[in-house]
Amino acid sequence: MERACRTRWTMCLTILVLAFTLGGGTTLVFSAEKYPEKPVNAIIGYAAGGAPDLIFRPLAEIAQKHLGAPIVILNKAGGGGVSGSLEVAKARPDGYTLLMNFGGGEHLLFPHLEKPPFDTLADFEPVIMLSYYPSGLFVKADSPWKSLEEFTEYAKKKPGELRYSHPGAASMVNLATVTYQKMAGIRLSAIPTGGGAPAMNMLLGGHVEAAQLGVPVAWPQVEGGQIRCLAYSLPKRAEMYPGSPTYVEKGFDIRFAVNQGIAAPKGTPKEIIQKLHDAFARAFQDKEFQEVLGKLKFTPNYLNTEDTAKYIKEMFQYYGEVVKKFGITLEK
Amino acid sequence: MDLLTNVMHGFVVALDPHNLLYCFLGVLAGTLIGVLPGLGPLAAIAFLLPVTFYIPVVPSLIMLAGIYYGAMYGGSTTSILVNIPGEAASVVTCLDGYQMALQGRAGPALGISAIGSFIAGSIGVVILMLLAPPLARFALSFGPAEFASLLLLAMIVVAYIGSGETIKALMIGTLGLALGTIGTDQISGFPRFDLGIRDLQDGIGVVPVAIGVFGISEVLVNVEALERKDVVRTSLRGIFPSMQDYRDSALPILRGTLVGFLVGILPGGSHIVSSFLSYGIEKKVSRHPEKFGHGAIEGVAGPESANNAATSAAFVPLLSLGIPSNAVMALMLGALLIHGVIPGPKLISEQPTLFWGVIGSMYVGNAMLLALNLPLVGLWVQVLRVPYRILLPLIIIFCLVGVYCINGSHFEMFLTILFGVFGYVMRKLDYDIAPLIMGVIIGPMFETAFRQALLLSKGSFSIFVTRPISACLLGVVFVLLAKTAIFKAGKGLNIFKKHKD
Repeated sequence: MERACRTRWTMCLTILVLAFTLGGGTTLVFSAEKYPEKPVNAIIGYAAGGAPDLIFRPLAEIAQKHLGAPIVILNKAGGGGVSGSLEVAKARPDGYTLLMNFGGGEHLLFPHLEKPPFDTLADFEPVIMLSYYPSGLFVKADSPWKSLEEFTEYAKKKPGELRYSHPGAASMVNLATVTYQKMAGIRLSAIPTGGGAPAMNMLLGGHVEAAQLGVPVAWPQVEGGQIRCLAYSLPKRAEMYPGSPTYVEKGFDIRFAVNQGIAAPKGTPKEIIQKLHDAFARAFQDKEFQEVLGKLKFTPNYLNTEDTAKYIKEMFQYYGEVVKKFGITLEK
Repeated sequence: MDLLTNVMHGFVVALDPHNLLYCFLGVLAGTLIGVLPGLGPLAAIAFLLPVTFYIPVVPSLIMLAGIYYGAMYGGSTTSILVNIPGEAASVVTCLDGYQMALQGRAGPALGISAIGSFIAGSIGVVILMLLAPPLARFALSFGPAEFASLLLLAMIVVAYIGSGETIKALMIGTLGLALGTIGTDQISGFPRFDLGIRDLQDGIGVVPVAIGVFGISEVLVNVEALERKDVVRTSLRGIFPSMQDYRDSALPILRGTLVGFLVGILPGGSHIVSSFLSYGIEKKVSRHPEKFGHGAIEGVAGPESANNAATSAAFVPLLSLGIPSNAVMALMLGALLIHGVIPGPKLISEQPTLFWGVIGSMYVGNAMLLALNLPLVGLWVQVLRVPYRILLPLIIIFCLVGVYCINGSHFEMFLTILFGVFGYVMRKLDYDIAPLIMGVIIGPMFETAFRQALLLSKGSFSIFVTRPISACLLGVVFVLLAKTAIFKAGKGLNIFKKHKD
């Protein structure tokens, strides 16, 4: 082939490839009775390797046997879960796109702080609720504060002196401390970090006096005796987290939890939702999955489709009230 | 001796056929994933994690670890052959590795890369074995102030790595820093410079930038060169490194191992930072710094060793204190938890089979990787024989698919192409593109660490000098800057003298 012709060929091929990839694919329409006919995409709105992966990947493995089609987990990180959620909100309601980690801070708390590109109550059909985890206030095992009261006392005497690390400004986990400070009338210095692990490392390294962490992230260190939990944010004590009190019993009505649920885009036919629910419910009951939940310290909380919808609505309103009552804004 | 017994025990565990199989699967998968641009060990481990539920904890961890350090071996392959970083950390290997390939020395580059990785990985395992707990405690004491000082040092060192004019390198580096500010600010939660585009809210990832600026721009440069008939592809001059190569690489490998290990134990310490630091150090101590950027084997040996040492080092905080220092380690932590193993200070004493078995398997795995990669060198260099008109479009496909695999984001693919074009323009205008990557990575890390440090000290800058480690690092920065300033001033004075005469 002549030289110039060959290079032009290369360029054309290059351009073609570029165009093709940018064009993206199209989906065909499938019917509800024969659902599922092809693999189901389950979107996790966080980067690969995060806590949601640890729960949802095993769940999907087990559930796909009951569903009768492969469930493919896709990580679409961005905006703290917002990108993934938006993608599902905009997807075709044909049951082939699902949102995992539904019921997290990005759905229940964030909308009250800033207008998100989706509407938690209007854009999603809840399918099932699986579990949740609370957040807790932790200090090092050798620190002088043995209880929340002692910590609060000290903070009252020295406002702004105590520093605590947390996973991020708009996170559900941080909300617990912000509310605690407002309820107790104290001021702590907040050190934001990029996630649970960096926040915990800061505590372990002695750079901060306390840390507000999601309980699953912190619990291995508690069991190892490195850190102590001053309180965690559940309505009443859970067997899973022995030896530590709740905020509620200390007089602070703080009941924030990050939920792990599954949702489909609004408009997904009821039969498909039912099939999905049944598959995931059976996976949930599987002994191995229960063990995973237990070992990772997530509190099981199964709710069926209707109850999930009610729960989400309740929680959404609850967080809205908390935000309003304490005047919580993103700037804090 | 107790240590010897433990090591022997570890080898017995590692050499158990069952575990050997998983080790092999892990390192093989890791190598292949490392070779594919974009896809990294994190995605692979996340994907394979459920599989490990059905197998006991020791083989699980052995396999996952194998994927992790295997990917570091494989990542340099495409960096050297076609100037595309297979792994974000292999960006540095592109600088001199690809130049060596253009000079017909792809074989020695790949060979030294594998050998350096093996030596670094092995030494890393030894240090891990002997010093894990005290090192882990040292790592924890590295707080935001120390991090900020370390990153400042890294930025200064990076200014040295450009092979062209310094001012141009600084300009590109500054552009990188600016690009790094795009996205939601970690400290305040405010979105910055996202132009209202939601996809920009998490900033510009390093992978689209690296693959675009190195890989896609390389394709564009080659397409243009094909047109002008000036592609010079020297024929292969030997598959294996020469004795001279070994002599040249020995010290860089050792230095790279040290740097890589130290940076690797830090929580949040990144492989890229360690390989860039190693490159900068090699260039600084070399007697022929002008060779860097034009195929200096030290520029491959050092960084490749650094990033493998960093991989071994990443296990230190996890195995000795139960703290994950990066996302991959967090997954390993998850795997441990799911198997009912509580990582923490007591892991070494309560789970000796696990600890020593994993250590033993890391030796074995490194040896397997060397055995896998060296013969493959002969195979890989054949890739260079593929005619460009087929190779280039394939490269584009691999790059774009690789980027898509990470987050399923069309936007990131678009960014990759955009940076590819940008990289092409920069190369035509004779700018060094490596500082861009450094800026994009180090900028946000430095800013976060710096601001966290100030938050901790409640606004006082003294935290950077009152904390001993930070003070030492800043001292090194000061010395480096002072040396350059004195040197430049001296030159200036000499010029005056000459003119007078």
